[in-house]
Amino acid sequence: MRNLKYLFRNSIVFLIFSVLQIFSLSIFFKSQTYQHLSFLNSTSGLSNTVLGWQYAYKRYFNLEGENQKIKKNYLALLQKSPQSFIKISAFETRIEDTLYKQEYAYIAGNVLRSTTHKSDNYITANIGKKQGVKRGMGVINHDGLVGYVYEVSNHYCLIKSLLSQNINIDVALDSGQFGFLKWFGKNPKYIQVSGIPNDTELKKGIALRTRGTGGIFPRGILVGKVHTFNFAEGESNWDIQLKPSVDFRSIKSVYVVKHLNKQELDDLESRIE
Amino acid sequence: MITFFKYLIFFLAIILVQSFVFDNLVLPMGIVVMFYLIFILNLPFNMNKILLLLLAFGIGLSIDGINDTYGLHTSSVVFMAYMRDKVFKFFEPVSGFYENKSLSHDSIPLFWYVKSFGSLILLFSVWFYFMSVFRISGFWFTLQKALLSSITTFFIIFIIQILLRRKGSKDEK
Repeated sequence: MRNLKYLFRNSIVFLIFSVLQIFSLSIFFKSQTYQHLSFLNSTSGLSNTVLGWQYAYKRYFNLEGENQKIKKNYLALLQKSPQSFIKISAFETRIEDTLYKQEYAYIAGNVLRSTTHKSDNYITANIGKKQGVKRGMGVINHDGLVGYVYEVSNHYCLIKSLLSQNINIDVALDSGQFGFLKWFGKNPKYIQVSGIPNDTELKKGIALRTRGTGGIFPRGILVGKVHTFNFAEGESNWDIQLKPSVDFRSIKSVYVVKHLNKQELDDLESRIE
Repeated sequence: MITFFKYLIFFLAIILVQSFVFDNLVLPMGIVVMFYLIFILNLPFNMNKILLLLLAFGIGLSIDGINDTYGLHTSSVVFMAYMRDKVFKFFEPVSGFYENKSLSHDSIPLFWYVKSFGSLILLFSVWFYFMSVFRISGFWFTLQKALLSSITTFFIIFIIQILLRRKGSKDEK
């Protein structure tokens, strides 16, 4: 009888252990796929209070006011620059001033926290649904491409940075050849690009920019510069190491890209079967 | 009741220290100092195992919430709490230590401390890093990361423990 009691007691500990394990691991593996969890991340409740404090004490180290001013000026310029506009008519391009219509708008935010050491890295920013941020929007900053919005709450958003496995954003050379970004979780200083054929001429320092398909990013946003390139084993592609133009370890501000005609674009593309 | 509040304050303080100080330390190779493990390691020896698991679950969820790791810390720290009893028993000195109430107070043999705490932190790190990549390729890289991370964590916990203990004994005099 005593043995039985002992056995029962031991197995109940193991049972509770298993239940807790299954619960936490299932959340973890669910988060690995592109599935959205609205709890247990830094966009929710308690933890963004903590993040708010963290931000408040950290920003003494930044020249906050100066930063804001520069950002405002930059945004004003960006909204006027040609890459934010789309031509109304393909035929009448002579008087360019009145023939462009704005296609992209930008929402500025500050970074509350960012990581570079995990196998999927996220950035938390202090803009959310109230500012018009939605899931899947692209994110850039004044240095170049940052990532895309993974999760939004009312006042905060979680950005999946380029330092994530399966990020798969398409990037192009100025000559038009395009490839995809990959990251294997090893070195936060370099990202990999695959899919660019190895008969393309490359040089160290050549810039790769966004291709602008899918209406997530404008065309021509700087992603990074080629650091090294080798023949990929068993493929006719280059294996490129890219140095991202954004320094993810010291990132302070981000701009979320809003495509003004996104709905229209999606509706049209959804007709392909 | 007093011990309850003592541990509650300890719990909150550790979460704050972890998120304000150690999460902001950028070390090479993506090593993170898991300072908050000191809480689970320092709970009384003969504590109820179920309560221990639940406490580990609580602290893991709080750290996950702040870090966007979605259950990774929770899973690893619950695993460590489950193994805690077994490891302590495995390394138990002949004279036994069950008379001591908690680890943060006097007269724990240093060698025993290094063996049992070290192996618990190592178990945590191995579980943590292998779950976070969840593949065999890059095995040595991940193992290296887990080893380095547990060594750093161990030394930081060790140093802080020595500092805290010395202060405590001064107060008693």
